[in-house]
Amino acid sequence: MIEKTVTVTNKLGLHARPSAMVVQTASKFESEIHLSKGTMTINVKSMLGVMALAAECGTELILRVDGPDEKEAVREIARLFKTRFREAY
Amino acid sequence: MGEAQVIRDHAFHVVRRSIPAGRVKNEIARLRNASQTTVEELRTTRNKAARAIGDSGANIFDAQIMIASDEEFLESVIQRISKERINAEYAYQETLGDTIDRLEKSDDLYLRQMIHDIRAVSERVLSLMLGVGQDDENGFNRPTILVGRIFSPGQVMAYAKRNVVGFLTEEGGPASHMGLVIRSLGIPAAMGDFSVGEQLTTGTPVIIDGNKGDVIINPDLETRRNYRRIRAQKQSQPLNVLRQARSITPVCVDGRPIKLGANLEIPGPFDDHLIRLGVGVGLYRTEFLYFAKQVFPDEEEQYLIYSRIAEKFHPLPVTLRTFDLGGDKYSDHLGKIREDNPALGWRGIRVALDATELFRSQLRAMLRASASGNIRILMPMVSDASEIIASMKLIEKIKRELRRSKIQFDEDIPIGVMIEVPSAALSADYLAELVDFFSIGTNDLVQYTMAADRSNHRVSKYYNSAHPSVLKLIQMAVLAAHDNGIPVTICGEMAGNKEMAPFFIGLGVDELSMNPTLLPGVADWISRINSIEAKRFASRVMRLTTTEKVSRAFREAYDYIKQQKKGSWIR
Repeated sequence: MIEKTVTVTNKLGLHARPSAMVVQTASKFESEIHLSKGTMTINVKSMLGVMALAAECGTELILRVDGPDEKEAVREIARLFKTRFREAY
Repeated sequence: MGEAQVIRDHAFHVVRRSIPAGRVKNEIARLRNASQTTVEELRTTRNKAARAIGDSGANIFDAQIMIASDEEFLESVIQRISKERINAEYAYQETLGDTIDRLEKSDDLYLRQMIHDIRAVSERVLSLMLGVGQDDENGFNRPTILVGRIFSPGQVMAYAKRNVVGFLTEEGGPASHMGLVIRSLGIPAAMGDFSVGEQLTTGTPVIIDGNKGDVIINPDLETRRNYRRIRAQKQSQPLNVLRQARSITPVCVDGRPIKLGANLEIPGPFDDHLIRLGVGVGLYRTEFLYFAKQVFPDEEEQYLIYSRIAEKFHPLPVTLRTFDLGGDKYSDHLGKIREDNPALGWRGIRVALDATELFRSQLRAMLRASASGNIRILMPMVSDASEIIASMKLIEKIKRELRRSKIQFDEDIPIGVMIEVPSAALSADYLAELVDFFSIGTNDLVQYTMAADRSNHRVSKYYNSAHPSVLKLIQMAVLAAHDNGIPVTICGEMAGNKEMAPFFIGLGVDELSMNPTLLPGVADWISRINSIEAKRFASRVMRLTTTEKVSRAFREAYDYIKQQKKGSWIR
């Protein structure tokens, strides 16, 4: 299992479009993928789960990935956060 | 004329029902069917939206598709059904409630917007399970008028199906984004009537008089008969008017040509007809790209959209207005930025000059696209020359970068400003030295001059397009432009008003840009006007002292032109 801290850096936060990108990316992988914010943990393959995080700009989330393709999954998901989900801000 | 269909945020009364063990399977099947249907419907809507407003705009539906097909969520609903032995709709609503509660607790207004996406999906799933609502793929069986508090542009697109003959809303106005989209689809509407919802229930017969803006609820038999006759006379749908127009020749009786342009917010339905008729884009409201998607498109995406439209219309001009966000538009659709006085707040060029990265990427996209056609750049909400100077500096810098990277663009791309703030009209002589064209946005100019919000029913009577002070500001702008040898467009709603056309022609306005559906009528109207007489008429109007006198003069000129067709119409 890999654990990594990711930060929401786009100005508008994890709103509908970035949430959709995260879910779409996670769904490509076989591994179990979870994100935690405080005490709340959700399955990243669930759109409503990711939306329920209500993660605004600046929020730190713990990404936990467990499975055969965990390395690639962590890399791709972390990259989405880092590149601000391709948003200008 | 149609039956009201009231659309409410919480129209469902979901009750908890215990079910026998043998029915659990049945309930699960109902849930699966409703979710599956919703996903299929959303996919179809998405494809339709992609054709109408482009792929970037259709993205808003992706999130909804993913909500509707969330397997983990559906599994927990199914567990609830079988564990608690309850009906599917109740289990669905309860499970969803947890997510909505969490979002409602968020302080972030923008994240709270996601609730709308969730509700859009859940209402459809619930209505399918409850067997209510009939707005399926095919629209409605009978002519229907949609009634609601306010609709988002996306909702308007989704609802505007077969047999939707009108919109009736409690909030918003013709100038709101909802209003712009409804109008660009050519559907009659009455907006901002604060009390409609209370008076109407689904099934009530309603008439919207698109000419007068009146709403008649429960019309009697005779009224219905009258309106049926009126409708039969004007059978021509707006898009048909454009489709049927063979050619348009906006040339005055004495041979003076007047340029016509189209105001567009959604590329698509009108493009081919406009090109065939030789009408360019007088105003392209780029902020629609933002509304459709809820985030700013990046430079590449904008470049593709702008270059496609420029190429399509070439050699006709395409005037791209930079994002005009803020004011009513922010609060109506985003609620992101709360200002006590948004109309006088952070909007238009003011946002652009503060969020320079965003402005830069938009200007770069426009400049790059200028290699593909005849693009003009227009800046909104300018109130001071310093804003133009700062923007020009930025444009020059981008041009240098592009030259260095050997990227092609139009070196002489015209840059213009909107004249819509009184201070811009009053200092038009300075501004005209700095830019290549003016575009007078009459909707805002009237609002700011008269200090009256047209969509506020208590003060809308103060919103007078024909007030002498408004006409003076317009005249100032036109004179300043012509002194500096630059052209002037009128691009607000006044541009499509036949009563005002003689006045604008008389002032020497170069171009009128309007909703595409008005073009054939206005072109025909121009061909009945003598521009030399219009000039005398305009100078007479400029001496009038009250709105009433001006309105009467406009009305008289209108009647005269209508009756005489050609010849003298000035007393």
